[in-house]
Amino acid sequence: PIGAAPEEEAVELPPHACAYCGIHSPGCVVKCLGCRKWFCSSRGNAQSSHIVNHLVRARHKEVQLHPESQLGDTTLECYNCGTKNVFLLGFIPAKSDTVVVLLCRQPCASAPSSKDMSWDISRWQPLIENRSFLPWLVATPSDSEQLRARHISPPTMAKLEELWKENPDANFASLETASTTEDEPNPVLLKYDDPFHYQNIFGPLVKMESDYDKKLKEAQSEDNLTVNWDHGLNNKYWASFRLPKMESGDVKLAVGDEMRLRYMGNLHAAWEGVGYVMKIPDNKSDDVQLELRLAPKAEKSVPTDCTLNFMADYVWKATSYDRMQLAMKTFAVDEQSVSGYIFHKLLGHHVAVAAMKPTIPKQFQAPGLPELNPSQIKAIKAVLSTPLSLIQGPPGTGKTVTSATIIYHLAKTSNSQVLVCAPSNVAVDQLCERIHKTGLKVVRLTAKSREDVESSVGFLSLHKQVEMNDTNQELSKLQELKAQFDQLSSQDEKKFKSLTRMAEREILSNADVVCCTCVGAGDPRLAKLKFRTVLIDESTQSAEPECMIPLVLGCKQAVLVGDHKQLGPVIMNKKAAKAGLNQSLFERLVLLGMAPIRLNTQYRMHPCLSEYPSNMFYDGTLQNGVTQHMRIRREVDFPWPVADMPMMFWSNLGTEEISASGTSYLNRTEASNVEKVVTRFFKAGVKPTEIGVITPYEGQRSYIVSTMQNVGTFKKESYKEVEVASVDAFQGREKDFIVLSCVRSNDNQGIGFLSDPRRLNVALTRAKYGLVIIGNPKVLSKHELWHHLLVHFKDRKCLVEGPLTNLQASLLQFSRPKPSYR
Amino acid sequence: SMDEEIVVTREEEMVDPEAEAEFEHEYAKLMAESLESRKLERKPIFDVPIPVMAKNRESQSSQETETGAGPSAPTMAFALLTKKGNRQQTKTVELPSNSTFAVAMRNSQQAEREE
Ligand SMILES: [Zn+2]
Ligand SMILES: [Zn+2]
Ligand SMILES: [Zn+2]
Repeated sequence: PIGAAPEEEAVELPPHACAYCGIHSPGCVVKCLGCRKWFCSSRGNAQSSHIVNHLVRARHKEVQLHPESQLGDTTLECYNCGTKNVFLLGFIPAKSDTVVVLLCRQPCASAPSSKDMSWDISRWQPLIENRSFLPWLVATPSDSEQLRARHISPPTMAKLEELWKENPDANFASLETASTTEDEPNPVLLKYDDPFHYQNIFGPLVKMESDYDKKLKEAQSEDNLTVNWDHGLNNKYWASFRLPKMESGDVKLAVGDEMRLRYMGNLHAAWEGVGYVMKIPDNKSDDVQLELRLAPKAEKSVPTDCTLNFMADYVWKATSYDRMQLAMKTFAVDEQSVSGYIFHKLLGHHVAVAAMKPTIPKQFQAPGLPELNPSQIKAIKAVLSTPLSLIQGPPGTGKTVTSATIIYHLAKTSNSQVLVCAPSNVAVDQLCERIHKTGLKVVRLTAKSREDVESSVGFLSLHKQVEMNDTNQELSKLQELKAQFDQLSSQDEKKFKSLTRMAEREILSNADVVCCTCVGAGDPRLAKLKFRTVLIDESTQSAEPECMIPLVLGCKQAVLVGDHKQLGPVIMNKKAAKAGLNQSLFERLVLLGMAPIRLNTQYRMHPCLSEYPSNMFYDGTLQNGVTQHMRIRREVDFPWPVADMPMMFWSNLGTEEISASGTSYLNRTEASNVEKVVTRFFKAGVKPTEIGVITPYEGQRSYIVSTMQNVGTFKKESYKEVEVASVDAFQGREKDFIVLSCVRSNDNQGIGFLSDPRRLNVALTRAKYGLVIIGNPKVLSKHELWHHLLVHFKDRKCLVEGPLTNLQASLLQFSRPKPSYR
Repeated sequence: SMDEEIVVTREEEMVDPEAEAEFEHEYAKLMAESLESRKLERKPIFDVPIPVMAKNRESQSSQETETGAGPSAPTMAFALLTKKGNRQQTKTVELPSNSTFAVAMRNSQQAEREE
């Protein structure tokens, strides 16, 4: 199929790895001839070495050395009688020569020696001493090798031995399934014994999430769709349609996802086609647009003359989950995957490290990037001298600039390529753009499915750079031919593919920086490359196994950037989330006692807007890099209750309703007041693109969009340009003015989404020049965090009620909050 | 492998004395059985000539061992006499200089030289 990814390679332990712990240095392992399994000579925390432990428990007695060991594949046996029982074997030396030989204790070494014998039988020394083979025969694995191996306790070895008696092929996975029958998954931990332990905890959680995602997406087939067709050059076909079920918000369709479209009517022969999603519902329209991927000459069969009776379903892909599992496996079995320091840090072990000798640059500001403030410089300095660092960037503190500057210095000083990742494509593109400005050679690696998606950094993408390549004439010619005829002969196609791969490899290896999403770091095109230095931006928004994907490509120095006080990873399966899959690696490292370096100066919000978030979420440390005067738009005539404080909480007591889909909420009064606020901003000269409307519910989002269209007295086009979206969609972004519609307004139920402090933090910190919150203070104040917020607004005389044309300070008494909000 | 100096501290695991005693028992049983089974074997005299080879194999070999664990301890090369089918073979083994065989060998070489 077109665009299919080549097989991703799995890393496996070699067959001669110790069946207990995975150690596999040829000099440290022996094969048990009783069961053909291999065991090593490490002891772990037990009294006996793994070999001896196995031999005793399984009552096996014969072993063979590894072919690549010092002695080759020698079977240990008595030189004289040939017995192979290792419990009987021992060495004797020659009396006057440096020669030794293996003899059994009984009878060969107990025979009386003849007088002139050149061997000294009296000095017989057993092969097994202190429950381990003599170390000069089977070497003891190095400390670092032992530390990276699976840590297996004696009871687990005993269990495994029991299992092998029933089923010789049983492994640790069977041990897991044998022991865990309950359907609650094991929760995540702060520390893990070894990478296998880590994999045993996260593997099942990723599987649960993957299964859930699959079930959810595959249940999304929708029929009776109306399709509008569009047709471009190069045989590109686009189908646009609406998916009513999208409103439920359960399914987050994303650009680049794959969908299958089928014609179900009778006006055309049966047809189905697969394509990538190019557009998802936004403030302009609720349409989903699909670009069909057609086999050559298949375009004639596309039913472009039909519009009714189509059905669409989601083509679910396991890629991202597969890559997480693969990364965890690589982490476990490939000792080159990360440095020892990173390895132990990730597992939560206590590691001391010899301080790095950093090259501190004379000038911190990178070419093409803005000047830095002291906290940003402090962060950069710290990062350059530490193998693992956390940078916390509260809203508006210049996280992207800091990251880009760090990447610049890392690339300049480390002499190795830097891998730059973030969970979302948007974040990767933003960073990529900044890095490009510093003059570094950047490559943006995108998934095949996104190659046609427009982006500001399209020209930096690997596939574009291959297209633009002008050093390989033959490739250019084939590219031209392919573009012209849409198809090549099979021989040319082969040639084209191999030349493309070559060009890709060359571009990638010449880059200073490679940018991709965390999942993208698992792309087979990167498989052969090593990245010693990795920076992950927005790392607090990805689940831990996702962060592992870029880290296991040979990382020695890692920088995690994010803010654990803003929204974390989105995990759909509630059980997996509850078990802790929704906790980022960054957050776990913070919980383990690693102090993040915090950027402390915000350049976004009017100081009155940053005050509450600073106090509630950042211990009051957030400083303002902008003054009141810089964040007042005097020309905008808006009825702020206090002239110098562009913020207000507008009390709305209208009730919430369940939306048409039955799975979301809306609030008509609030929607109508959102329209009034937006219209008022328009009249005051604010541009539509400067306004953002945030609401946590998809039902309300769609209702606000239609209310503005139906009731708004300003130009319809202007309302379409106002972005209305969820808190989550606004994370990492800013607008001049933000209108927040809280929706929830009921007497007895909770406030759902709104109770998450991290969501509240994000919602409150998007606006630069003004914030209007529309909500029901009576209901919200039952919640401790919102209670504080309401008191904050009331104390500053910014809590108001009444019509927008005549706002009055509200004297409302708040409900008593329940003591805890978590 | 990656060259880095790190020190990892790990919490000690508790050893279960009961399980330990049980393992000890199994071990002793296996050993006793092995010896017992050989009681009635006839006692062949082991009388094999020492293979001819260069003397003074002692070396302060500093070659990396398979484990690659830092600088290896000084060793002394010995020949291990083995059989492949009926053919005699010798293979080199590096014994630590402080092992009983190596110490004894050095002592006897010393004595020889002093004579
Ligand atoms: Zn065995
Ligand atoms: Zn082992
Ligand atoms: Zn024997």
